[in-house]
Amino acid sequence: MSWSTNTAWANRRMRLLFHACLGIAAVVGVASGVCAAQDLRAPSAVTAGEPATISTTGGGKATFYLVGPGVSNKSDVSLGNGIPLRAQDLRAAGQYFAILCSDICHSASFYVSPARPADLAFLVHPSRVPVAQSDAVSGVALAFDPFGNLVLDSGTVDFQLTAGKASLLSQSVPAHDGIAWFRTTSGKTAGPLQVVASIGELSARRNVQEVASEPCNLRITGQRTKDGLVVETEPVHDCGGNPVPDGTIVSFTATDASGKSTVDAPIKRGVARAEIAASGPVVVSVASGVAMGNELRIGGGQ
Amino acid sequence: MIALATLPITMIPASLLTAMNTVAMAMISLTLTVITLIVITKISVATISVTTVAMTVSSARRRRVPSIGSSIRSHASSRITPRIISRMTALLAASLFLFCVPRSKAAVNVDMNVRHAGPRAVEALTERGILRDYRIAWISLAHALEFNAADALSGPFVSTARDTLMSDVSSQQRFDLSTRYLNQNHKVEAVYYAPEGDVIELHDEADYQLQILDGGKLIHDEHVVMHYVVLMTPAADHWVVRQLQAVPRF
Repeated sequence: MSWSTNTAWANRRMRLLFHACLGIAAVVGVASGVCAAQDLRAPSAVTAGEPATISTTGGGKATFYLVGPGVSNKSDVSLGNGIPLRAQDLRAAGQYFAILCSDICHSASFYVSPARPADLAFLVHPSRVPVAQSDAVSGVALAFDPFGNLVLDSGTVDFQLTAGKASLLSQSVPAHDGIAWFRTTSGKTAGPLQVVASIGELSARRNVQEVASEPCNLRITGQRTKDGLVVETEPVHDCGGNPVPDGTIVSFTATDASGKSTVDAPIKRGVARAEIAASGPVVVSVASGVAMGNELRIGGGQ
Repeated sequence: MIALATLPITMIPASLLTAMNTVAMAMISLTLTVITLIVITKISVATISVTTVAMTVSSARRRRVPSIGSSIRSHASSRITPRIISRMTALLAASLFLFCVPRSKAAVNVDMNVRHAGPRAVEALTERGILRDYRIAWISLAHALEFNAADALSGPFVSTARDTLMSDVSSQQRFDLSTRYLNQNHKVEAVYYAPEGDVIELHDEADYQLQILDGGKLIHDEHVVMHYVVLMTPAADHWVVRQLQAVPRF
């Protein structure tokens, strides 16, 4: 079929075609108008606990949804106005979805970043540690904002370890992914070890009890009694000179003609003491943990 | 059922999925009960038949007359039972299908890489435990936010993560909203493991189909790629999620 504009009926057909084109253009226009009517724009940067506004275009009524960590809200809004987001709805850091629905739904998403550090979680291990142990004390610091969000770019954390008046460690550690940590050797003196982590004016303090290490240079003395013999240690210290705490077990072993017998005695007031039933010549040895002491030979007449 | 199978999961309303699950569970229970009863009955019939045959043989020996009743009974039971069992098997298959359809797209895949974790190395057993518990956490999260069931959150989540998700559930309940996390894929990398093993930080690049529904009506459907910073700590016998925080990028 050919199209001609010279025939009488061609004018009618052309008018029909023109009207059809007009109709299609009108439908497309209305559709695009509807789409453009309910567009929304999310804020580019939002900090936790601060209010924000979502801008909308178009006119009429719509339903607005805010879905994010810890919040799911639904409200009726007027298009063309800004939609205020309350501070209490933006407390959790993370991704939020703003959805606007009238005939169809449009959405936009935005991130809420953590606020400034307000709390420092500080994990220190162990609570009791022997002196002079390498890599025995460790600590992990994590910064959180007032709403419990992990602050990923918290900056540098300062760690200070002091035993009495002596500084054991002073170290500035940049936090990676919100975490800063240290590991160090325990001090040489028994007593409380203060461990402090700080970010700016924010700080957290923990205490570690440093205790004496294994006994060192065990020495015993003894004397015969009418029932046997009594042996006792000199004041028990570790290799650093720290008194070994009371309750630490010291083992005395006596060997005589009848065989071998062992007595375990706890340290009381710095020394361990034991009574051993033995007759004749006796050899007494002493041990505590992995440390051995001197041997004591007591003859039958003594 | 075939119509349901051809229907995309996203088109099935949440309430219908729940109903399907309930019906499927009921059908599975019923079918298993019936099969158990049949097996028990069959054993009883076999016992009775053996007894009857023994008695018949002894009486036949005495009277020299064959017993007809016992052979009829055993013939009928052997003809009916396979038919019932085949029907029950079909019902069981249908129930399992109905049960599996709603879950087919609720899968959670987790791949974990612990090679770059430090300062403490993650042992193989620890890695398996963390992977298992992190996957369970996401299954629980998806269930809780789809069905607004806060109970699912109590085990795998603690502290801030739990509080935030509980708040999610309660606010969804208030407005009759729900959120679906479908086709979850998690690429998890351990970036920090504390010297004493008391905290691990994970980076999770997750992609899933996120659907937000208002009273069953889909208002948002988007395939999203999310980045999560996760803190997990060991509990008595499992690992718990203490922090689950989405970030724009790592």
